[in-house]
Amino acid sequence: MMDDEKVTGAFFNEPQRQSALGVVVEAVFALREVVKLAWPLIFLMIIKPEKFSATSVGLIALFIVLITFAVGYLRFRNFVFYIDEASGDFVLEKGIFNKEKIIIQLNRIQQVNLSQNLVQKILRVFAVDINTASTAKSEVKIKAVSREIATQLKSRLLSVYQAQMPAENADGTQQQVQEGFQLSISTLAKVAVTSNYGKSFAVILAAIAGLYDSLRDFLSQSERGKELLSRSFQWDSFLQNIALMIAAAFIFLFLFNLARVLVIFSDYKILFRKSAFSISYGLLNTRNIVVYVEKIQVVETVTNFLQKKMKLQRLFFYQASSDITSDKQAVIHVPGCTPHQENELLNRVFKEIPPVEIVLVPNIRKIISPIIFLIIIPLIPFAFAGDTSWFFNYLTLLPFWIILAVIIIFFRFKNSRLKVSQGFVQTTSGVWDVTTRILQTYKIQAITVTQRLWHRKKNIGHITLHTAGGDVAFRFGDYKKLNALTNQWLFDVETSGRNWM
Amino acid sequence: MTGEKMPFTNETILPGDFPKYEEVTTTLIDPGYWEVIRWRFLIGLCVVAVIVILFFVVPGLREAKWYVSVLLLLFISLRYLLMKMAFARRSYAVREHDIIYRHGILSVITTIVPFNRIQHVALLEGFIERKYHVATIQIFTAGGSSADIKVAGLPKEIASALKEIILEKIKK
Repeated sequence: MMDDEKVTGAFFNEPQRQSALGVVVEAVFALREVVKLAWPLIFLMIIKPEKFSATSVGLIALFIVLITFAVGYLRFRNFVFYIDEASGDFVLEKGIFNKEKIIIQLNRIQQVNLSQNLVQKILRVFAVDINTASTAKSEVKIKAVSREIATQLKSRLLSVYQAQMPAENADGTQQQVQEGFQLSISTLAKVAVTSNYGKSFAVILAAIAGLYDSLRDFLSQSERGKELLSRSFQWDSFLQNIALMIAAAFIFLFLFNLARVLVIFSDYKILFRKSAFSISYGLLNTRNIVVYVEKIQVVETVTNFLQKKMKLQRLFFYQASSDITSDKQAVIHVPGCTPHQENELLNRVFKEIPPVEIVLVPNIRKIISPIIFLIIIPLIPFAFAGDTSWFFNYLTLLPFWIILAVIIIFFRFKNSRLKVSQGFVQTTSGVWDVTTRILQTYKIQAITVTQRLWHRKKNIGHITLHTAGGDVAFRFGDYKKLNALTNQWLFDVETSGRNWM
Repeated sequence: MTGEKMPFTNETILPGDFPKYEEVTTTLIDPGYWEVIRWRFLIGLCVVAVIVILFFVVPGLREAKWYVSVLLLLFISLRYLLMKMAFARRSYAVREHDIIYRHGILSVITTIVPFNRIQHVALLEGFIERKYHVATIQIFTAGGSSADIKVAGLPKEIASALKEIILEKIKK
């Protein structure tokens, strides 16, 4: 482990540039922008190459290279950063024509992340992202410094904020033995096999659809191809092909998912600090994140039937952020861990979750709308069945669909729960992947209780707990009980002096 | 916190005897705000009227003029009715420690925001609102847009008093 605790006090007081390799990194970033601007031209060159002579292509390429390096060099020259000890600010100056000077008070810097993309990895330089509480986007980014400078800068920038944190550095000594755990390749492989079918499937489907379209276009341009197209469309062989294709797709899906998870989360490490986790992972893009336990608003644990058998849990930490959709770093992902490790993580976030006192079960009416959408609406074609040529296939598929729908509706109902213990709320939901969301009541920002007019007599209501890490909702609960809980939670929030972030 | 002058209360709060938000009497929106809504609606109607006139004047559009007129008329009446219903069901209450806002046509939707979770408060007052002495108060929390509440049509004095109260609480 690097000795990143040593702070060289005078080191960042003088304005300094990035590592010399920063020219290349800046040029690559500039190239990206130029390509974005010039994509119509580039697109034209690809689809209509005959319109461009070799010399003009060469000239354009030369021009692009020259301009990116010029921009890269100028950006590099004008990019300086330093710490103003007198005022306690971190200062960053940049820009070619529009000079920009960004000043951040050191005590507001909450998070400093080191990362590498492919180019930075090849050049062995690091990017330093600086985040404060107020800005959702991390505008302050140093693109290329050596590992040594990156780690020193990080600990220097965080030293002020950490000194404010009551728990951190309270005893003045650094932890010598760092606890934590690492995810083995076999764990990652298990995760890949048992999760994220949807995401991978969508990616593959898009790729196949694109490939199919272009292949068809290509074939239909020639006589031979047309013949091939019409001949291959015979019903019996078509069904065989479909079965084969599905099998192939599944194998491909499996391999693709495996590769994806292994690349993204390779070398996943969690180290426990006093009041934070430091997490690092990634093969091509290396991420290095520090998560302050206080900033975590909601913890989500996800598992499914297969993962339960393999003793595997996935965890998500939702941090306080002004806009979750734009700031991807607000969600920290632990792709897989054992129930024991999960407990360890939860204990570090929540100390101890008291035993559950109240469990709310949704009203049976929760199944009405899924029955309408998944079962009744698919039955509607029966009423209008005139043309029977398509109807036969529909009829044979329908029983399977209805069995599937019943299973989905049953598990959706069965897994929907609201669990309350002293100072804590947990909800569970899901059909295949069962998600448990855990939050501390004092971190609630606002509560919305909803009752439909036709649910009044049945005493049914919905509740949404708004937190800085997203909403947590429970629908079709006992309205009176939800109100009683709301009153209790409001009391918790309004009498709590604890800092929620 | 146990100053001599401060009255010390210590009511039973357990088990489950917290102040009940659902039993708080909420105040309906000021009738003056209905006038504001009507003025805004009227301005919207002018735009619709221009569209209808176009259908009666422009040669190519004339065939559809009756369909369009009837459809727009239906749409406008429905919109007016829904606005009226929604207005009649909006209410609010300010308690010692939180603000309650209730609305909804087919549902009763109640949002409660504790004062000690408010990040920012804004008082909005449009041109028409000023004429009827009403204002809109907008309350922002860290809970994202779904947790923010906007109470339109508070009497001016109440809105500014509420803003002062909240600002005072945020400062602490």
